[in-house]
Amino acid sequence: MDYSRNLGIGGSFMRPSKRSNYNRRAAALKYHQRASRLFTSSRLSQPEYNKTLREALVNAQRSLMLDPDNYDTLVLIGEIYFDIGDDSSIHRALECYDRAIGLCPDRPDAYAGKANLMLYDFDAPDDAELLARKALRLSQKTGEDPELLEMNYICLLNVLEARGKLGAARWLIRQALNKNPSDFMQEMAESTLKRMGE
Amino acid sequence: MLEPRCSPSLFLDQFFDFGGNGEPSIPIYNIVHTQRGRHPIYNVLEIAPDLLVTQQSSALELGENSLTLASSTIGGDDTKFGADDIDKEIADLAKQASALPNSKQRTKILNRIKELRRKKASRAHGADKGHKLSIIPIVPEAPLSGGAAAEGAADFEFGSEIWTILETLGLVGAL
Repeated sequence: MDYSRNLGIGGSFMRPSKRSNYNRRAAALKYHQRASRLFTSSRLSQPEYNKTLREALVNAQRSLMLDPDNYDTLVLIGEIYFDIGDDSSIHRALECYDRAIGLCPDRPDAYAGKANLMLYDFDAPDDAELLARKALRLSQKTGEDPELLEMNYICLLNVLEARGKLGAARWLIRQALNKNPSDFMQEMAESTLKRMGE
Repeated sequence: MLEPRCSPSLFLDQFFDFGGNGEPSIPIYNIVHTQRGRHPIYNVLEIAPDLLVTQQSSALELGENSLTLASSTIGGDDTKFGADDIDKEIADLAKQASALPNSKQRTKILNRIKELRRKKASRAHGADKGHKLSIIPIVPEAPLSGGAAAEGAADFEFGSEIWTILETLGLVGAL
């Protein structure tokens, strides 16, 4: 019989396994935040761009070591590898996105990341379009935050533009502006239409 | 029963900052409980003081004499970014992205915007799964100026309780 449950202090909250699990998650969160900060602050124009990205990657990997099944960290690592862009990095990015999709098949971010990878690095535009459409569909289905939903519109828009499907791209722009009439979406739509020669 | 060699208030004086007439300059309840807002773990978790939400008691209208508790969610406590900073950074990146002719470079910038938006939505690193720290509403006691006498009595009661415990443990003689 487990008498610790009857004690005022102790019980399940204080069991070492749960407490250490909590500490591990807290540390993983710290590393994730640091990686995210380094990744978002890195700019191509900066002289230390690669160094910052590598530092972000190290922090994200530490976070993943502490919390191996974290979807968001896997997606972040995928994005960092996509940014680094060398041959081994793009394969690792693909691995991360596949693992993330395996963990949470109903979340759109990994599909969108994989779509970009397929389009730009693996020369598989058909797969890219399927993945981008899936990301958008899941984003709509799960009622994602409008600011994140419009990023999935833009992802599919980029794929359609790159494939030269300009009619479909124009239709998507109308849909996106109808559903998400934000300044950001307006700006992106205008620049896309400008590139398409309109 | 052993006679105490010092009064409870004198004994508590060793631990708490008392005022000149035996009245606490700061209510003991506040000294003890506002430590929640400065717990050492907050530094480890990078929870900055500006992330501590002031819990004001509507019943007592305490104003600044209210308790502070941590408002913290998993993934929502990145101290280096406020919502305004993120919006500004997103606007800068959006300008860069729309000006770039290379679609791969544009996508890389869009990935950064997406990461910032995830952070803004407090969803990064599983923040949507629940609170990291519970927010416990506590109604603090009245400020000193409002009813010092009543508080003094409450503190004395608190001191008596400690004294009883010390007595039970047989430590009174040691004082």
